[in-house]
Formats: sequence, structure tokens, C-alpha cells
Amino acid sequence: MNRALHHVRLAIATLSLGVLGWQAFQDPRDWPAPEATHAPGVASATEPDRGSNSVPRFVHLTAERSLATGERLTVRGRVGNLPAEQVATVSLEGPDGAIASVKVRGDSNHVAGFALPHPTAGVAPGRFRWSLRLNTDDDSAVLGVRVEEPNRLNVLLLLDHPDVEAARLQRWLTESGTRFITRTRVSAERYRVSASPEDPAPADWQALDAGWLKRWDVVVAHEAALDRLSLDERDALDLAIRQDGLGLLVMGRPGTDHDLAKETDTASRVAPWVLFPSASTEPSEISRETSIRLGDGQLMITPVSVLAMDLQVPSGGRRVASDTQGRPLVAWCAHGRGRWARSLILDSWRWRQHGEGADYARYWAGLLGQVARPEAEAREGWSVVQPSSPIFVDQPVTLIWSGATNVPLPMAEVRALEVTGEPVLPLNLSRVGREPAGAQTVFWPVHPGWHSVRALPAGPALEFHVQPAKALLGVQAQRQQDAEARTSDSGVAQQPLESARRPSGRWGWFIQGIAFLAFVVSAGGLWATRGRSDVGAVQG
Amino acid sequence: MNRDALELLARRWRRHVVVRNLGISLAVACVVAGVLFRVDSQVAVFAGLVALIITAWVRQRRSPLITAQAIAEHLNRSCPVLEESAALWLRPASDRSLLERLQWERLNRSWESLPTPKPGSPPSGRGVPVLVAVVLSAAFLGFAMREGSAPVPVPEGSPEIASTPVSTPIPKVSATLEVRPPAYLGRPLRRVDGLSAEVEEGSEVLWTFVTLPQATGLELSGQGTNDTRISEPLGEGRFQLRRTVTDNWVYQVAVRFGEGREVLLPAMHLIQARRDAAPRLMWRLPEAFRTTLASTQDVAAVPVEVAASDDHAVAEVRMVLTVAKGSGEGLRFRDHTEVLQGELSAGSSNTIFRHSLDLAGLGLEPGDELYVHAVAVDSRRPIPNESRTETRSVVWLGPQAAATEPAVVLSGVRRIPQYFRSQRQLILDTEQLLAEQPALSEAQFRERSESIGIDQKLLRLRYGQFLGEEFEPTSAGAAREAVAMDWAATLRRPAGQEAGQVAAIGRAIEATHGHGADSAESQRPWTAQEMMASIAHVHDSPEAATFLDEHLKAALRGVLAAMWDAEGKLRTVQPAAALPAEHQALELLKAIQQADRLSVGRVGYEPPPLKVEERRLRGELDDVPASAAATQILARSDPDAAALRHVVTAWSVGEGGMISADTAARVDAILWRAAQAQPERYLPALEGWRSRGNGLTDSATATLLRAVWSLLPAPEESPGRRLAPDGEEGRRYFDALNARWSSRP
Repeated sequence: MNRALHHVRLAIATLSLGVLGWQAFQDPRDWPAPEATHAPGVASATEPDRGSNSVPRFVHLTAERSLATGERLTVRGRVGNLPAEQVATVSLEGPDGAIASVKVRGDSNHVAGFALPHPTAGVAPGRFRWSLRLNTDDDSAVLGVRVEEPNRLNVLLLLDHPDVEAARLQRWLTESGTRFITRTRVSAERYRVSASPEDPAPADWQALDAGWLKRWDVVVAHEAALDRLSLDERDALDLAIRQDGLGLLVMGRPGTDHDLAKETDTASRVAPWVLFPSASTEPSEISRETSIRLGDGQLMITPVSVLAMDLQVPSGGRRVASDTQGRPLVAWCAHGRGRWARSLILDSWRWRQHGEGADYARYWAGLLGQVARPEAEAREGWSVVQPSSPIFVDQPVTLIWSGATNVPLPMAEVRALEVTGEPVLPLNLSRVGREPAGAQTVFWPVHPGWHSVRALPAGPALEFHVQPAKALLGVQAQRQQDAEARTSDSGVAQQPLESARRPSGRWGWFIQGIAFLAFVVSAGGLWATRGRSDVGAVQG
Repeated sequence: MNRDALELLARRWRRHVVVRNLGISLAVACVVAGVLFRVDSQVAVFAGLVALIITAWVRQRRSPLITAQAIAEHLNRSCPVLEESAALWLRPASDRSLLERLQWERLNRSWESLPTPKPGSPPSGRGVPVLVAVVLSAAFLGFAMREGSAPVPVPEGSPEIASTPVSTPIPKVSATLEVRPPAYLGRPLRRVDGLSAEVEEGSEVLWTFVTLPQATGLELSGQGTNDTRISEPLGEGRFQLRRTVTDNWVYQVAVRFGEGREVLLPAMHLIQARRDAAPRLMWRLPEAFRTTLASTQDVAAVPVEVAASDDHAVAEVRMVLTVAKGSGEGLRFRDHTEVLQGELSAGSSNTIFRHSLDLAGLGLEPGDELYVHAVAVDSRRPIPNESRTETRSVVWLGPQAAATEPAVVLSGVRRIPQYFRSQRQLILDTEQLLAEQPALSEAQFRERSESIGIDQKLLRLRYGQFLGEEFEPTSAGAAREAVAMDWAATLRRPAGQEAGQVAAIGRAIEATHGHGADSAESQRPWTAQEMMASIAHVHDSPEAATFLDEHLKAALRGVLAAMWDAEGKLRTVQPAAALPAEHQALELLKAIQQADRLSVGRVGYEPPPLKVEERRLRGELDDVPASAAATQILARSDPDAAALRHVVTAWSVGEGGMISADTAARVDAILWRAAQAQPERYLPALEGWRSRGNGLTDSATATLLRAVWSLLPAPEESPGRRLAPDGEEGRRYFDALNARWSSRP
């Protein structure tokens, strides 16, 4: 009996030691987790982990991953599990300590949506964190946002006369670091040329040609200045807009009855806008004062002068600003690959004068950005599918590579920036069928925090922030639900698919603990048995 | 072997045990001291000694007493060849029996036959583990001591921060402050322990320092600034410094020793100056900005009342009176000042100052105006704080002016077009018509009278739009307006009942021009639109809404009533009877126009005359180049903002935090100035900035980043490029379409 017991103890000790040794070489995350035993789309008896159903949580969240300096972060999302008529507070704290908050109230589905802009603009390039919180401690998340310098424009101004509006615009362009050049007509066939500080103005430049227009992204011009262009200049301008994507913004009063404009019908190709005398003003009035409402609904407090004319927006055009009656004052429309815009606002500089400088900058930055030539299509870069949704540890994220056609895909790597000693992980890109210049790869983040994916050897990089596995449980659960709903709705055969979430490895630790305990008990028993036999021999 | 040898062996054993116990005790003491050295060096030394003593005592007590007898017994156990006879070595030869002597000889021979080393000697190898333990523990202690004193490496490029080497004892500085507030406050001297305090602005602060060890010099400085104060030595390591505090002061203490060594203590201290605020003044009487007295009104005195308060004491309140006499270019001003007497208001900290304006005593006559404002001065010395109220005016109307009922007061926002010339022209036209009446036929007279009446009507309509009269009686949708006009016509009464007529006409107008439900009856708070509805007249263009207060509306109704009267008379060919109404309308319009006018003295400055011939442009362009460079617009440089932005970038997540020395010095100065102005907010950040070389916790880094970020001006959006909407695929499609279009005949 003792011998049999001895053999049993020996076997247990050996087996447990073997288990411990095998565990030491395993990645605990590869152990199957109970929640992954069913395939998405299959009705599961296990409810998504939402934590307590009585606690309000975020169920949907979008926020920009990157901002340009001067831009502000806006977080949008939905809050679930809100009791009806209960008010919850969503607050967002910026890296400067400023806190913005909004109150939301649940509807009949216990869900409330919110859009929360933060007043702090990105002041300098870098990686920063904004803290999002629901009530005091119901739910929270840290949003990592990358602030970058904007891809600046090159602006060409053609002015028919010195103008306070244009002068203030040039001042603002200078202070924002935008490259520009201005030609101002000061008298009959007399021009003055000025430029941004880093670009010396060619004093002898007078004529527009295709080569010169290629250097600029947007042309801001008085309509009268366009009327004075020669036919060749107008053709070059029109071609640059249609073929090369140049933008044209026309402002100021309508051109006078210039003889050149009457002699040709090409004027309409450059400035196709139709302006009608406004019915609400006296015929003798050239301008009127009104408050401006921007495209996003913001009302500018200081009224400004606008042309007393009605602007007919061509079909497909888009309004940028209108008066309080909804009459368009600024609008753009496409012309070939480019865009042209017309503005009836005469003195937006008053916004700066009356303390609305930030809104003045936002208006002009938005208007010029919409009209100007877009980023070059051939530019290589990374992007993320669902660019505004949070990324979580142990959940796949699809990284998209856009490069040149007929060029081999580059090697890529990803690294966790906040984990010291973590090796870089190589990525394998695979081409996307419908886009020959595109490729993609799936990455499973292991660590929370900032990550950087880069094309080798020194290609473009993209940085993104990963949430911890236990963050935003409501959002994760909602994603799971949405994925299940899409899979079941599509009627796809419900085959066991790879789980959308890696197992957590809890079973691994449990087995390790049991094995260790068994080893200790069995080995201890063996040792005790051996000690007693030795003493007996001595006493014997 | 004999007894002496056994005794020697026993001594050797005892020595061996003592050394081993001592070694183990020393090892334990080194370990204990090394663990506690991080806490405090003195504590570590004391604990080590205690551990050494205790361990040695315990081990020695537990070690058996090794005697020669014990050695003999040990030899008997460990060496069988001795045949349990080792005790014979302990007995003197005279005490041995014959058998014992034989056994003793046998014992010696057995002992000699044993190989060396002989058994019974202390094991030589047993000391090695103890020696190893001692060496390791000593190494551990040395490592702990070295970690506690090693200077922390400062990142390259950061300004050097003087720190106290661990080998040098940190000087201790204790201080007391004597704060003597300014004499005008009348507060006693007070003492404060420590180096930070909040004092009244202008207080004299006396620092008394005691240094240990005794220093030879001590100064207070704001590092990076030129504000350094050298204290006066009092001997025996005591120093004194006196300073008058007028502003917040953040400083550090630097101590100098005889061998030329200077130590800058890292702690920062704050002397916060609590400023003496200016007194606060508030009008109580008169309540309105403008008080109008009728010419026939018997005015004895006008009461004025102001309430003043101050954080310490109000020294004086003066009433400044300015009398304006005359009109037009003959306007003259005369100033007069009177000191008011005040009394404390019950239940509040305000002091009420009352006065009665004797208009006759001031020389006011009907037609003159009086401007009044109050000036309060507090007790601050040497330069008292002064504040003043806004100006109130008292207008004593002349006999020509008609008082508007209710009194027209200044209003915030209103627009009155300048139509006075039209009304005056109507009067002139009417007077001319009357003058020419004898020369005109009846038809001509009627025609001209009606045309003037029509002009009067048009003028009335243009004024009436401010009150809602937007329809011609004959236009579409004007039926209600026509009814209102009929009501108004029936309400016309002879002169003497003007007030009732005006009110009735006003009610008729408003009755046909409803503006919606009155929200005053609802319980909910008014919305912005509802608040504005009471003074705004909004129809189809909110941005063109007119904002009129009730007094102005009432005045305009009076104007309209007079115009209606005049129009009626003119259109019934009674121009002579229409003239009084026309004059009345003009006077009311003038009163409205004059209501918001204030006359001020002209500031004398005569600019030099222009040389027109030299400056007038003649349009000659021969000397003007066709194209020339214009003045370049230079961007405003802000090196402080650039430095702060550099720090924000360097301290963002994942960055190394490397900052150049110039940038660090500039940021240090910026934070210093900010800490001076707002110590509660920026002093912790400044301390964190100064100690960043020692490594900061995440919360300290976040605090520093927040402070630096808040010092930056809010950036504005810059124009940036948008993403291409269609990408490479769209461009190829466009190019293909374009090529196909171009190739078409």
C-alpha cells in the first residue's frame, strides 16, 4: 500500500512538473476562452459583457484620431442604459485641463446621442490625450489624438484694387504660415506684387500662364480683376481649374461693364455665377448689412456688409454661408476637377475687429480648404478602416496602405511606442482587389497606448491610440451585437469563424495553479516519506 | 596532547565561534542598514548597530560553552581510536592510576597515529560561507549608500540645477516673518512662521533666518531673474532681510558657507501680496440716466444718492457737477465739486452718501442741463485708489420745448432716420401755400394742399413703420389697418385731450398689429425672443428689426398723432389749421433727436493746414512702374510662444523631452512670471519644471503640461488641404473621360 502510494505521489509530482514546464513555453492568450466557443452570428446563450445593465455606458463613440494645429476635437457618440428621462453628463477634459461637458437625456430606448466639441485647439504637434467621462464614474476612456501641422496651401490673390478685406486676409495668411502671392492693381496697368515672408515676390510677374498656376492651390480674386484678364489668361485659368483641380474664389463687387467682358463670351467660363439684384433692397443700394450663418449653423454675431444681390447657386453647388433668411452668400460648385466659389461678403474682417478672430479663421480656413486643390492622389500613406472609432487591445484593426500603382508593396512594421523593450512586429500587406494601388493588413494590438505603423525603409507612418481591453465595454459589446446582426442578416452559412476577440488566458493561469499545488503536495509527500525511511535505517 | 593542548584547542574553538557569530551578525547588520538607508542614513546606522548587537548576543547565548572537557567529549565521539579515553588528558599525572597511565600512553600513541590535520580543530572551511555572507551584505550596503548619494543625471541641454551633494549635509534654514501692514490700514504687527505668507500690499516684511550649520551668507533670489536680495548677517548663522512687498514674490533661499560653497535650496516660497482694491460706487438716486424737468415745473432740489464700499475704507466721496448753459455754439460749461457726507447703511457694508442738488443755487435756469457723477477715493497711501460712477444728467427744459409724456429717455438700441428736414419742409411748404393763397385759384390751392397732405401722409407712413404701420389703406391686406385708421379718426378729439388721443391711437394700432401671445402670463421663463419682443418690432426680416423702448414708442405715437392731425387738415384744404399740428410733430421729433445728445467741451487741437498743391494727385503715371514689389507683410514673431510650443511637443506622449538650454531658460522665465502673477496655478508647475531632471511622475508631468499649454495663445485654424475625394481610381477615370471628350470631332 505504501509502495503504491509512493508510486502515485511520484507520478503526480512528475506529471504536474511536466504541466508546469509545458505551460512555461505557452502563450497564455492561446488558451480557449469560454466566450469564444460560439461563432459570431450564432445565437449565443452568453450575453455580451456589458458590465452592469443598470449603469449608463457609452455604446458608440467616434473622435478624430488626428487634428491639425488650430483644430478642435469633437467627440460624438451614444450613451446607452440610460433610464428614461434621466440626465447624464458627458464631459471631456483636454490636455490643458479645460473641461467641456454636455447633458444628455435618455429616450424611450434608453439611448441618448451627443456631440461634444472641446474648446481647446491643438497648439503644437505631438501625441496628446483627452479624457472622456460619463457622469462621475459610470464610464470613462482616454482618447489619444495626434496633432500635426496642416498641409498648407499656396494661395494666389488677384486684386483689382487695394482692399481692406484682402489686406486682412493677407495678414491672416501670413500669421498662419500660408504661402501666398498677391497682385494688386493700383492704377491703369499698374500693379503691385507682394508675397508671404518666405517667398520673395517676383516684381516683374504680370501674366498668368499654366506653369505659374500649377504652383498655386487656390486663386482668390476680385471679379473685376478676372474681367481684366486677357483671353489667354482666362483660358489658362479655366484649364487649370478643370484639369488640374485648381480652386477659384471670386469675391467683391461684380465687375463693371468692362469692354473686354462684352466682347467675348469666355467670361462666363471663368465666373459662371449669376447674381441678381436683391428684391429686398433698394435698387440704389449696393450693399446691405446682415448677420452671417455658416454652413454648420453657427451664427456670427457681428453683422457684416454683403452685396445687395442674390446669388444663384448652380446645381450641385454647396453653400458655405448664408444670411439669417437662408439666402446664400457664399457657395462653391465643382468645375471639372476643381472648384470655384463666389462670396458676397465684403468685410469679414469686422469679425476680427470685434473679437471673433477665431471664427474668422475658421470661416476662411474652411472656405479655402473646400475650394483649394486637394492633396495629391499619388501620395503614399496609411489609413485605418473606420478612422474615427476606438481601437481596442485584442481586437483586429485593418490598416490600409495607399501607394503608387505598379510598384511592389513595401515592408511594414508596427511598434508599441509606450512599451519599452517591446520588439517591432513585421506586417504583411496584401493587395486589395478593386484598388491596385492599395493594400491592407490586419493587426491585433497586444498593448494599450500609442502605436506606430511604418512602411520600410523610411516610408510614411501612421500613429494610432489603442484602448485597454477593459475600456469602453459598452462600445465593444455594441460592436459585437452589430457584427452578429450583420452576419445573421446576410444569411451567410454560420460556420465557426475566428473569434473577434482573443481569449484572455484565464484558464491557463488556473491550470498552472492547480499543477503547482499538485506538485507541491506530491513532492512534499515524497520528501516526507523518504526522510522517515532514513531515520528508521539509522535507528534500526 | 595534554590538558594545556585541550585548553588551547578550546580557546581556538571559542574564538572560531565568536568570529563566526560576529560575521553573521555583521552580515545581518549590513543588510538591515542597507534596507533602511533609503529612509534615512542616521536611522540606518542606528538600526544596523542594534541589529548587530542583538544578533551577536542571541547567537552567542545559543552557542554552547566550549571547554576542554567538551573538546575531550567531542574527540571521544568523533575518534573511535581514542577508545573514549580523551578525558585522561584532563587529569593530572599524579591523579592517574596504573591502568590510567597505561591507557594514557596508549591514548597518546593512538593520537600520534592519526593523520594531520588532527581531529578536534575548528573547521577551516566553515568560515567561508560567513565570509561570503559578510562580503555580500557589505556590498549591498555599499550599493544602497551609493544609490542614495549619487547625483541624478540631468538631461543634456537642460539648465543645471544646483543640488546638494549627498556627501555634504543639507543646511537647514528656519525663518520667521514679521509683517508690518501699511500704516493707513491701522493693523498691528504680526508674526508668521515659515517662509511663505499672504500680506497686504505695501507691507514691510522682516525675515529672520537661522541656519544650521552656520552659514556665512544668505540671500533670497528668483532664479533666472535679477531680483536677488542679500540678507544682513547677524552672526552665529543668523540673518535678517527687510523688504516692502508690492507684488507677489516667488523666491528661493541660497546659503553660502565659508569655503566658498553655495547651496541653493530647491524649495520655492511665495509672498503673496493682497492688493487694495478700488472702491465700488453705485447710483441709487436718480435711477434714470436722464431726468427731465418741465420748464414750468417748480424744482427746489433734486435728490442724489450713491452707495460706496471698499475692502478697507472709503476716505471721501465727491460729487462733480457740470452745468451746461446756452445752446448751439454758445454752449458754456462750469464745473463744481462738492464733498458728500455718508452714513453706514444698516445691514450692509455700503456707505450711503446723500446730497440734494440745489438747481437754483447752481445757477441753473430752464433750458440748461446739469451733468453729475460721483468720485470715490479710498484710504490707500501714498496713492489712493479712485473710482467714479457713470454720468447722470438733469435737463431743465426751456419754455419752448414741449415735455414728452412719458419722458423720453435714452435707450440702448434704436435707429431713427433723419427725416426732420422733410417735416420742416412740409411746414415751409404749408406756410408758402398760405402766403400764396391770394394769388392761387381755388383748384390750385386745393391741389397743393392735398399734395402737401399726401407728403405728410407718406412721411407719417415712413415713421409709422417703426410702430407697425406698414400698409397703405388701399393695399392688399390693409383692411385691418384701414379699420384702425377709422378708429383713430373717430378718436380724434380737439386739442386738450391729446394724451388720451395718443393713447387711444396707440391702442388702435397695437390692436390691429398683434405680435402673438403674451408670454408674461405663462409660468415658464421668457425666451430670448420673447424678451426682445417687448421692445423689438419684427416682421419678415429679423435682422432689420427695430428695437424701441416704451418711452420712445410713446413719443413716436405722439408724432404720428400730430401727423395724422396735420394730414387730415391738409387733405380737407385747411392748411392754416394744419400748421400747429405740423409744428407739434416737428417739435416732438426734435425732442426725440435731442434726447440722446450730450454736450461736451471741445478739445482744442488745430491741425496744421494741408499743402494741397503738393499733395494733390494729378494722375501722372509716367514715373510709376507697371509692376513693383509692395510692402511685405511680416509675421509677428513670438519667441515665448515658440518656446512653449516646443516644450508641449517635447513633453507629449512618447517623446524624449529633450529641450535646448535656450528654450529651457526661456520657459523657466515664463513660468516664473506666471507664478508671480498666479501662484496658485503656476507655482506647482514651476516646481515641477525645476525638478524635471529628477524624473517626474505622470501626474506631475500632466500638471506641467497643462500649465505650459494654458500659457500658449489659442491658435487659430489655418487653411489646409482636403483629401482627394476619389483617389487614384477617380483620377484615371477622369483622365479617360477627358481624353475621350477631347478626341471627339
